[in-house]
Amino acid sequence: MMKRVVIADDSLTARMFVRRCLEIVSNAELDIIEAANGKEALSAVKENPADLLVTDLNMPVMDGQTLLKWIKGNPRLVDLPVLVITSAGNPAKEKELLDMGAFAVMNKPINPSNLKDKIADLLDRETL
Amino acid sequence: MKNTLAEVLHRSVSESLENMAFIEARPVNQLSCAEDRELLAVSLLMHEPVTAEFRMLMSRGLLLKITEALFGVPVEELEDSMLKDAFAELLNTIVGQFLNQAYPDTVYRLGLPEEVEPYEGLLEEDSLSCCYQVGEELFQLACCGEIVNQVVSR
Repeated sequence: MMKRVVIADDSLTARMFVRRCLEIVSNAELDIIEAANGKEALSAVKENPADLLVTDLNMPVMDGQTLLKWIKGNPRLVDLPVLVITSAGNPAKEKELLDMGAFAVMNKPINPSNLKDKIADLLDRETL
Repeated sequence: MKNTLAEVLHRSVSESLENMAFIEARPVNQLSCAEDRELLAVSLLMHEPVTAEFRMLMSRGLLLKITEALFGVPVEELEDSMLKDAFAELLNTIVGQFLNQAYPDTVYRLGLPEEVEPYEGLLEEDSLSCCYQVGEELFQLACCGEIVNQVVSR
């Protein structure tokens, strides 16, 4: 069954990079939706249920941390796994995001094999 | 004293370019790549816990080469918007790598990358500037602000 993944990042380069990595590491057929900020991503996951949200932190309009807060505060979306991929992800920030309910936090530049490890964790729960 | 800061910067540049574009960049003993004719520049501000500006200067030719590697499409198919976006994302990633090493225990806050004039308002006395070589070409990364002295003293 096709899985729906939303990628939120204001950088076209970063979205392309994440998309390519996801396509490489996932065995499932993916329907990938791209969003340029948190607000667009929130609309996308409200409109159609998603299986995974991959988000950057530092974005205009609505940043990734605010997006995470909205998702974890919405009973319909609270179970959506959120993977944060950011350049600003030191251990202090990572702890803050995990405490907020992020599924995992990865630093840019992402390594496809590290991403695969994270997605494999998700596979057990979501059969992505 | 700035050697420590420069070493962290070198590692961040090298790892970012290698992981993102499979391109090798090595530091060279030169303070500026100003002799390059058509330089483009992108800037990123840090607001907390200290102020800083990071600025990267690069020739259009080198940026084309890096963007081509990033997107995996021929140079002829690259649009200006892709070049600018790749340039911004590269600086964003390098700065993130750098700050994660310089401030592992502190949450920091960055602005958004923006295109700027190469040397306008940058060359403060208390700044750090490093040049890197990719193939035959050079690019420059500079930072200024409170961070220069703070990271050095940590």
